[in-house]
Amino acid sequence: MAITIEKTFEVEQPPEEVWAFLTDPERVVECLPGAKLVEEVDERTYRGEMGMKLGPIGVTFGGTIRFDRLDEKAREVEMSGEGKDEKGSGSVKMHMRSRLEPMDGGGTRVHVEQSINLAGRLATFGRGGIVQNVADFMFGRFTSCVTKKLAEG
Amino acid sequence: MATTTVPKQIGARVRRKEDPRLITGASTYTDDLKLPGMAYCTVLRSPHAHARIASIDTSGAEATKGVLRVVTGRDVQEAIGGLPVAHKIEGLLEPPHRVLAIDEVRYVGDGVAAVVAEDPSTARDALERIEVEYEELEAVVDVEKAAAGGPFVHEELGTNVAFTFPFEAGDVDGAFQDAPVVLRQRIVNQRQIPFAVEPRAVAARFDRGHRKLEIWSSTQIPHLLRTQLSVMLGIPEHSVRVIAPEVGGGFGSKLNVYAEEALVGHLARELGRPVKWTATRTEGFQATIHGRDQLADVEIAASEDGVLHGMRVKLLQDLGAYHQLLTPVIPTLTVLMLPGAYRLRNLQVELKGVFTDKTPTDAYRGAGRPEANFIIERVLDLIADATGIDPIEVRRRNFFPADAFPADTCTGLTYDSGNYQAAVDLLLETVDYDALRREQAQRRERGELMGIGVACYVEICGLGPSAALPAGGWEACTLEVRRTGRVVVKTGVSPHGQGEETTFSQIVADALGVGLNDVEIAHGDTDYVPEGIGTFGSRAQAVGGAALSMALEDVRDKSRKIAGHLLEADPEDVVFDEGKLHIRGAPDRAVGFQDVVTAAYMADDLPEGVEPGLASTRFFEPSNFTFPFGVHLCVVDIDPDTGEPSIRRYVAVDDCGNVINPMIVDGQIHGGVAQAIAQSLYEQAVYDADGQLVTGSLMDYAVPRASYLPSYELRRTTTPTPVNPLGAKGVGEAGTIAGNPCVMNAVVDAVSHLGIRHVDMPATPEKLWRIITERD
Amino acid sequence: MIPAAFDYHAPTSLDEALSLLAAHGDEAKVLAGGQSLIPMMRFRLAEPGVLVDLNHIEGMAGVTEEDGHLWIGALTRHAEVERSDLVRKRYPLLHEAASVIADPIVRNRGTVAGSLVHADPAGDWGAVMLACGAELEVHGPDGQRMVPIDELFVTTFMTSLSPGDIVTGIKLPIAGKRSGGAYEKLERKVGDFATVAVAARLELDDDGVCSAAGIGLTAVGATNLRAQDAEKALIGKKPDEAAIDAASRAAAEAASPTADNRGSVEYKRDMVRVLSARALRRAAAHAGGEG
Repeated sequence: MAITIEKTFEVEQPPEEVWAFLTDPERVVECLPGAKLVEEVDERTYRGEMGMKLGPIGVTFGGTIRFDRLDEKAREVEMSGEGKDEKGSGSVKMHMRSRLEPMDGGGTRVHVEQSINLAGRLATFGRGGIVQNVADFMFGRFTSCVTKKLAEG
Repeated sequence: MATTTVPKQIGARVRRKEDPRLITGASTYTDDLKLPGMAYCTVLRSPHAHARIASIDTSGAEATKGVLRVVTGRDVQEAIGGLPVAHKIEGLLEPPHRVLAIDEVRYVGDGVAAVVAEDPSTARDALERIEVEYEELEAVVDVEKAAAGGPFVHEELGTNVAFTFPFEAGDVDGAFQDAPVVLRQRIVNQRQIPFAVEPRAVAARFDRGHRKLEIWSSTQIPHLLRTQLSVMLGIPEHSVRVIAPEVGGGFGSKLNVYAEEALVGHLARELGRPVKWTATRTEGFQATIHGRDQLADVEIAASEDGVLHGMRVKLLQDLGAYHQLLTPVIPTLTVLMLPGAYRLRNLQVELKGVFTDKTPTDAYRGAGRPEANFIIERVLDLIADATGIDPIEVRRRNFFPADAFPADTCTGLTYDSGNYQAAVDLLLETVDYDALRREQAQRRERGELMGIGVACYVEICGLGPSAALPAGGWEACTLEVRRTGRVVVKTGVSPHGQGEETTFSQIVADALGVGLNDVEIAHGDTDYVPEGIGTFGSRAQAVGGAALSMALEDVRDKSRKIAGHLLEADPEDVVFDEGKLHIRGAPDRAVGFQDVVTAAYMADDLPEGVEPGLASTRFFEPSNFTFPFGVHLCVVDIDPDTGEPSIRRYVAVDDCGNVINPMIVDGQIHGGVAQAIAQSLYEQAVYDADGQLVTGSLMDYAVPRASYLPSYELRRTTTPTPVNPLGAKGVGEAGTIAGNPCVMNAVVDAVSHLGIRHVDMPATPEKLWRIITERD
Repeated sequence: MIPAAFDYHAPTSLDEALSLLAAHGDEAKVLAGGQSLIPMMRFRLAEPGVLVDLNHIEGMAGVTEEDGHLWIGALTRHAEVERSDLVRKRYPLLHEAASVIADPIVRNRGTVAGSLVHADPAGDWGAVMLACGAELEVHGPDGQRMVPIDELFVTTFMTSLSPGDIVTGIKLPIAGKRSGGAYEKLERKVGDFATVAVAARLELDDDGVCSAAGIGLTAVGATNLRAQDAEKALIGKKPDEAAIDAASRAAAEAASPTADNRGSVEYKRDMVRVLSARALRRAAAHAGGEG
């Protein structure tokens, strides 16, 4: 089951600052509730865990995340990740492309395209809308967290 | 046959003997079994449609307290042979199908490992402690892409096409040349998921003393299962006993040999403890066969007067990832039955069976015949539409006439008996068709959407002559009259809802003049009933009942001999009459049937050459299939705002030959039509592009409830078959076969004035809403 | 379909239940009717470590009119609402919604409050309570408070309540002299989640002009939604065809459905329009207005 998210959000900080934040896995993880970094495999690849909890439902995925492309000049980042449900009954694959665009007045507009593919237990349920809703919601939380952390410096 | 008694039970609406125990929970299903020392098995299944298994680590599960055994495909590959496919298809590619996958998984639900534990919860918990590393491979999901090339479900085959089955009869090119009406239509029979209220379940015990494996399984075919398990497990057949206890529905989904049946048998033998596995509902959706899934591209040649002259059909059968027992055979039945009730002489079919990374398909109520009938009955409506002739009249013009029987089809079948026009005549007596058409015209004026659908059918039943089936088509029956007068019938047709305990009792009651409750029908235990084929293909009555009739004739003959001796008369002059045997023309000179039974067992005063006892075992081999037929009509209303269809009226005229119990026949039609309505309007197995089954639960797969079904009006004509002594043809699948085109012809008819010629199943509200709004 | 292991508590008082929740925090789930939680546990989508079963606490069920409002106790089953004469006569919206929830078996066990706090956007009660302007009485570690329904839903399966909170009842404004309501639901089959459903409630003044309106939507967003623009399109107007048409279109605009096996985005949105119009027409007829 595949879902996609396309979002744009704006922050007051300049692209350089936003770039530094979004390419630092330690900081990104702070804005993903339930996520933690377990191990740095190499400078672009990390092992980690990602917990998703919504109401009574809880799933924890363990896996790797990787910066596939860091193009500082074009201000584009591509990341991909894959993880396995710790109960062995499913898996998730993610691909995300982010692009930073300077705004008049010094802020940054962040464009994000993300695709998520689920296999196994969660994909067995045809109410794809739920997963989409949850992904949208989590993404919304992520962007507001990023905005806040950037403001804190 | 010298039947002189007046039939009393045959033809009567006798209430089902088996129902009180079934509906009060007093019966035993496989999952109810609790054997001393029983352990519980669960199966770990692939979450991926196609992946290489890089590694499996079972140590966590093995270390779990209460876990007795964990096995992978490699662990059991020596001990358990591959799953069987029974077929007579030339050149069929048969890739290995192991009970647990080795190295590669090929559909979501493919078994990867199994756990046996002291209790079901521990077994379930332990599954989560098996670590499997998968390397995902590209899944083959779309059947047309799969047929056209790679990637391949089974890489080593270098193709996804397991077989091609070309068929040609008559002069097809000639029929199309200069045909005034040439039509093309893609007709899809979407994938269905059979839903039996009782999920699959298997229990096994190995009797070390007798070196005998006992298997309890929710199966339609205990005898065939016994043979196959013997082969798969390398145990002599006489050392395997299969018991089918109560079976809570099958619809073809239990007409199979499943991995768990062999796996549980093996584990019970290896552990020396009884083992049981019961499918979860999720396993019912993912790891029990699916049905239908055919894509047909049809070309039609007809004349302006509505006569069908030729058809070309390109047929793709989605087989799923592996062959199950009859997977490739099902679409060949579609080919055979494409002519339907009509004198089609020129037919060309190119059937391809194609592997995809999905659950295997196999027999589902009707098994290939609903697919065929949906095609031909849509074709007749397309011709009606193109020629402007009423659909009923078009059918009339193409029927085999009543004097054509036995009638040969261009597909090599011989229809045993029939009178199709008579069924239509009865329909038109029941329904004021012209008034319905007038009402439709008036409603259209008001912007309302009403459709009238008619579909005929001929089905191939009473499976069947052994030469035409992959594993025997006969049936066996042992009839034993016990010294108390108790009559025991041991039949090979093990029922799973068909009511054979009642219908067979009715047959015995009439033949021997005993009460229904004096008859006991034994079935579903291969030690107690050593031979049989099973209940499927509407064969229980037509083949199993026929074997019973033969055995009854033996017992009647012997009874007359004994009675004649007791009455000092020629046995030829002795007649059965309501529990008594008397001399023809002299009802006072009589002995009771019980007197005959007692004499047979006392054996001190038997006629010369007559053995003690009163019993017979007979095998019936049918000379042909039987071909029930009929015509159904329904009226569908569509909500013009929401697109919701609803069936206002459903009339069925069926002819299944002689009827033993009209109430049970009615029930079979009700259930069959319900499943057809389900396919027409609600149910569809949906896979996403990655091969995930996204209709994998009852929350997602739309099995309709009773409130969505109309009240059926049932009528019958009776054209007995000459193929068996009962004259009964079978009725288990008729409703399903007639129902799909009947409902869909009505749906299309409701929107035909909007320029619509065909609607794919299921006709969901949204599909119809699009048709309506796009027209607006 | 065997759930993961869990501890089970059956407190007999609200205080006991609250302390159990306080003791177990996030690990604990409240069990009321169990019609959503138990299936999720059987699929192992939910694996709570502790269940606190409220069914042994007395006095938490019942539907009554008191102190100028309608009170629905937290353990009131859907079936009890469905069969209540009071509800049937005076609260047609509640009666209709209760009658089409899932199937009779679910209605016999499932509770109104449990369904609300489960916060499934396909749940029927959320739309109804939004249309009615209900409030939830909540008991938590810091005592009792009222939570307006508009502040309850956060996103799918998430509410603004804390893990230590227990809903004890639902308070609805009492039905006015000229009030009406209706619930329209489109589902693939009985027992399925709604494809789309709409709850409508209208209050008319003596001139037949709409003085209050409530429109709640089911299964067309991350939560049940309230179609406020649609409500505004009615207030101050007579509920005639033109007003109902404008309100229905506004309701369709308010919907943000996602596509699934039950239908596409366009279909669901148009069904919001169709069902809103039907529900409003019937609500207006109930209220004794035109339409």
